[in-house]
Amino acid sequence: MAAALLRRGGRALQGFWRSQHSKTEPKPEALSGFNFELTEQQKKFQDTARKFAREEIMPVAAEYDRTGEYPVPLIKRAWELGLMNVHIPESCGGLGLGSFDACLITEELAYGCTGLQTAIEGNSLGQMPVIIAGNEQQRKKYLGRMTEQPLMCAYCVTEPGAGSDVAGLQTRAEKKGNEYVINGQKMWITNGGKANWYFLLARTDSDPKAPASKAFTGFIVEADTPGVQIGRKEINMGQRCSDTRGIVFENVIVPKENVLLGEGAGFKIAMGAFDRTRPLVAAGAVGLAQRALDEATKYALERKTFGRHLVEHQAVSFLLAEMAMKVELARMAYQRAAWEVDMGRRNTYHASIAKAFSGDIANQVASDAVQIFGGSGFNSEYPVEKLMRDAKIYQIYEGTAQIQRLIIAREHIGKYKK
Amino acid sequence: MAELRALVGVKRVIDYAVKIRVKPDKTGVVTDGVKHSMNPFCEIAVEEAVRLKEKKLVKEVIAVSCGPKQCQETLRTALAMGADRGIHVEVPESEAERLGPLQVSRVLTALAQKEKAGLVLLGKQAIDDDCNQTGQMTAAMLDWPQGTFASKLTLEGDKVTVEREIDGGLETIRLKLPAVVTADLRLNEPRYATLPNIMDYEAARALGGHESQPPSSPVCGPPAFACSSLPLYLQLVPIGTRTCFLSSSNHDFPS
Repeated sequence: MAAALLRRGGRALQGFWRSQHSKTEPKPEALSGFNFELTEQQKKFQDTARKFAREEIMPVAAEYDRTGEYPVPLIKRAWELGLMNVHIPESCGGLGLGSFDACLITEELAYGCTGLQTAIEGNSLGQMPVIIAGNEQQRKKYLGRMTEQPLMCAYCVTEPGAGSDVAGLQTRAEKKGNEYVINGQKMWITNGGKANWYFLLARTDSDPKAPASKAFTGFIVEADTPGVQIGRKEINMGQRCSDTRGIVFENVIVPKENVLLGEGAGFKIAMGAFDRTRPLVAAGAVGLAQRALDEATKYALERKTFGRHLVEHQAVSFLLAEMAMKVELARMAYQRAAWEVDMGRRNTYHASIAKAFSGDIANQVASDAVQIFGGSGFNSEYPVEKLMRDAKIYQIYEGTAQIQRLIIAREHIGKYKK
Repeated sequence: MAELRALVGVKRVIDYAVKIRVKPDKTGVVTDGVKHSMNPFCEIAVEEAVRLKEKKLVKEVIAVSCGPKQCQETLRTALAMGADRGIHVEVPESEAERLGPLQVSRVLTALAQKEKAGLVLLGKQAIDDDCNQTGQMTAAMLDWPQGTFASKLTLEGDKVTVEREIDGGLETIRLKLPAVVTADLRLNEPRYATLPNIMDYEAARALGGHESQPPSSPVCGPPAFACSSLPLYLQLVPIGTRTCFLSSSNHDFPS
């Protein structure tokens, strides 16, 4: 509810017609009881994303996977259609969509190719700290430019020595007058080599006993700042067209205007961004799983063995049934998580459940799809081997499967302790 | 011509990707709960009209659909693609089965005259009945020249050059406006509704048909087409055996 009010308040800033929009009442669907119906607008968003994925992404996804080339034309096209940067508030020229709408779009894009979806998601993740914690100037400057041209940005937190253990980050930011000097190394940064700017998390409190909630600061760093050394493109198992790199920061100077909220607020911002983007990652995994299910089902309806179509064999139809169960449940999980955060509520519990579950089932469903294809499934001429390779990362990035379980356990047990 | 108004007919049909099933009583095809969308050839016609408007050769694009209440969805899609106005000629559900090219062409004839359209753009045929009659009949009733199966359309002054796909290959004809043109597959590639346009459109709809100004700066991409306003004219069309008429006191038209 609060989020809906906040969004409307944010929208009321500019433009005659936009302010007209903001005076309308929230749609009844948003406030009524339990409801699985999408609004007209959501259905149309989904249609556009679906059409784009089926007609423009799918024909070229395998080739981009083979070469590992960054899919610039597809990204440009997605940007033109408004499918990228959907979270940017309207005051900065964006659509100001909530997580639910963004999830619908993400699932459709992921159906086409999760490599491309991750590249686009990298933008959402990088922008989220600025959206939730940036001041007016920071938002106008860094979010505004994303809507004027198809630019990329990146979320730089992970390091070679610290992934899950964010509190163990070594990258240092020392205050020198009106500036900060940043030294350190980041790794596995999506869009690292293509970003125009980074959200960077660095340690500002040199006291090793300082709590994580006070020791880190979030910065916006322009990618062309001297001292930013971009590493080589990493060759990964899956989502190969997505650009993943290590980045070295050597005496990189960042003005104090680029600090988000204030010194010491970084950890909270970084984690707050995850609550908004975890449902999106879950949606991506569901898109992949849905694709695997569709491909496997279509194949099973064509291929014959022992005189009957594969689907007529119970072993196969049971496999498909279990795949279908997992996809439906994972979808409902991310929808709940996205809906919770859009309502203005803390959604950590649901977001972690959604991400953990979807990551796991995406791997299972993709693997089962390869199984249904049999020998062909193992072969690169058929689409499912790519899905299986692409699925693995969903159990790793944006919080590993194990970290999600830690979070879920903590949230769940915490309810009983009261 | 900057004064030209284009009237585009759009039909709501079962989506092309749906697997059609025959009703158990064999009286027709299952339509309940089945996904419907705009006839693909009508999409191409709308796209052509909007492109002409963007080239400033057409002043206004008016989308028309005949049928029950759900046709308004199809009209909304046309508006989101860039049409300026949508006219829904309402036919009650019970009568809708008897609505065919003859009746629709009468409606289009009347509307073309009422709206003073200079160009009537239709899809070459609908994918549900494959009649391929409405465009031709409309032209005959209006006594206007027709360019059917158009794969290329060029407006020059008061003439339109149409390249038609015919059995023997391609035929190029030149028609004097006003004219009726029906769109074939290769005329163009329909645009998607971009997300900013969908939002503008839904916002205008929520305001209940107020004129909305186009956004002053492009949102997320190339300049959006002019924001569409949405006064929908609802007019009842009781269908007799051979006649159909618009029950509005403002005008009369042939039966």
